[in-house]
Amino acid sequence: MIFKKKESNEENKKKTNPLKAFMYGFALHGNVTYMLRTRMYMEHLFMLMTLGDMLGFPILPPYYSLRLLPYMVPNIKSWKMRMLRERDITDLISG
Amino acid sequence: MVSILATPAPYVLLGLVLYYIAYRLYSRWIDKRVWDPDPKRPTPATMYMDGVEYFPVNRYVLYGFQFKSVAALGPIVGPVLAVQYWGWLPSLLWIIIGVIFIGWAQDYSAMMLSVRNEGRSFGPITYNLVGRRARSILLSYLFIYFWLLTGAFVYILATAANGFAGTFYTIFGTLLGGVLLGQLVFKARWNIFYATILALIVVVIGYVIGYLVPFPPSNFLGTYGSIMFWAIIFAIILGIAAIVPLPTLILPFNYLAFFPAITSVALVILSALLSPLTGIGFTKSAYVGFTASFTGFPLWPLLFVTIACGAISGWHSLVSSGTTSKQVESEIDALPVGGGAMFTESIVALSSFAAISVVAVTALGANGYVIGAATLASGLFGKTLYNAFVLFFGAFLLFMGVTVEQLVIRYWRLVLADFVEERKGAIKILGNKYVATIIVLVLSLALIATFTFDYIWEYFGGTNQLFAGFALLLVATYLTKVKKPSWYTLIPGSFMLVTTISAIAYTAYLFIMHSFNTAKPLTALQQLFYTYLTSIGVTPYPIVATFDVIAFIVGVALVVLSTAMGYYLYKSIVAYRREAGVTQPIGGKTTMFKPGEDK
Repeated sequence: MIFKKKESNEENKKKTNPLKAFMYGFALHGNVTYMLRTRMYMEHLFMLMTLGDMLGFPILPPYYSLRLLPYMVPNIKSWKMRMLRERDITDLISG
Repeated sequence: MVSILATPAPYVLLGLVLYYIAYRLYSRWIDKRVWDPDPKRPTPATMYMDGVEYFPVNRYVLYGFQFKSVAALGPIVGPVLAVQYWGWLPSLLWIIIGVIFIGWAQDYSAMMLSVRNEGRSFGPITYNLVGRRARSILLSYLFIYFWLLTGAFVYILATAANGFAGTFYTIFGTLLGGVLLGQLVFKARWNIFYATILALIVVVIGYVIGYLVPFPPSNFLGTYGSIMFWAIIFAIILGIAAIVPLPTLILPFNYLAFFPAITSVALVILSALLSPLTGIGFTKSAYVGFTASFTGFPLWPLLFVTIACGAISGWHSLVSSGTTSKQVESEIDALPVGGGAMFTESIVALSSFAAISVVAVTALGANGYVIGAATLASGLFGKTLYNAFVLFFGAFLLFMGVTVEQLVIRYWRLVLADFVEERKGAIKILGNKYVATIIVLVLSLALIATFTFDYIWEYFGGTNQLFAGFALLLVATYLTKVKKPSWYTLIPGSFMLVTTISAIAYTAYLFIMHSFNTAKPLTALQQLFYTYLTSIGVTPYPIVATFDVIAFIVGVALVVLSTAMGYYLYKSIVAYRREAGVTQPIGGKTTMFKPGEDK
């Protein structure tokens, strides 16, 4: 599986038009990254409210946590990683 | 007919050739010998992929993003000042030698350092490698750095808007276009292509109005009053931009500014390379002397802080380790992305060098760039287009300043909020976004009001370069820890540390000496401030002396903070060398590691 993924990445690289990619990176990539981060912060809040007990926050799991759990399972690992990772102001600086 | 050697073309071309050689040979040699990138070793982007912060991005996209993030007013203003202070030759040599031996190494190494440390940014890495106090110093340092940066950049924006009547409409048109684009794309869900077309039409209307209606004229309130008027206007715009959500203004504005910005850089480089055909030659001296014209600054250490970005800049290490390192797809991409973007930014500095070196008048500030770029471009495309090019490059200057500055003010208020977060009492009000934004803007306007731009620029350049020195020494600390050769960052890092601390100390010394004798202004520029005060019946002495003392205290604080930071960094390097039992020279043999062993 990993091997196949790498192969497809190589193929993608060959297909990429460098000038187009540069223009996209210069003009839009920062915006896309910002949008993703905004979504991340909103997800953090929502998951903290519903599944905060998983990280040791003294939150009584509400009924809806169980109902939402199947939808949240794919994100739990990365959410935990992001929440527990040390951050400071230098993480936000991206030019 | 102007001799080809008396035009900027051969020197710009020489720079481009040397950059290519340095990238192909020296950079790759360091890359292989020190970091030994392995395409099979997973990067943070692939290891912790979450599709949000960590995700692999194509190298060309990342290169474009990195270049956009590092390029601002720094590589434009620095050469403009230095060429007029010391002559074009020392400036050219520092730009080329600086980027080849120090600049790229910092950007690339900061990125690799973060990649090898799970994509962490500089704060946590400093904490891990050097300790808690060092990180606190780093954050305090950022606080002063952003303030000085805001003061210097807003002054440049104000002088450009005042110097070139009508340019304000270009930025106003782009701001309106940005707001429109934001609403159309994010609220009305328009297709970005059509929204861009519509927004660009608004931008073009701004250009046309600026060209046809050059109002208000330059110095309409007197030089001092007009510059302060524009400084307040820009402070208000930047303040609003720093408070409203990014998609409302900053993101669409930065996107729209991309189109004229990229065209401007390409146009100046092309015009400079073809200058032998247009017969536009140097008007500035190759070498003025060790002591600068106009200000009397000594070449060492002040040349090395006057030209900051373009040769080396601490801002880049923050960007390299902040976002880019989390998205590097493969370790082998770090060199073209980090190093490549730095070399490209240095080309912007070369374009600024070319522009100012053909300007006949004295223009201490970014305005020299606009006049020079318009002279080069109109020489190539027709003298009748000179005024149009002045507007075009003036707008470019404003775009470069505004795009970065609106983010810097936002970061500044976040740093302030971080400081007061865990404190109790009334001080917590400083964390409020409105209060913090107003504080930074008022403090920056106070810097501008004294008209000591030449000196503030040295402070700003000094803090920027010191940050680069910290970054290089932090990399050396890490390399020592993992038993890799560290000389290529330790030597430049030490040079930058000594040079920039000396530069800041010297500038602080000038301020305090001036406080004892304020009868004469610090520079010709400050004469305007003196004239203004006298015209409203105020004696300059108490105001100027107070400012001098405050500026001196800021300088001393910077020197103390940076000396302490340097102490902690060297202490860590020595400690890691002892811990590792390293007895061979700093450039000693490379130890090979298995993947993951060096964490």
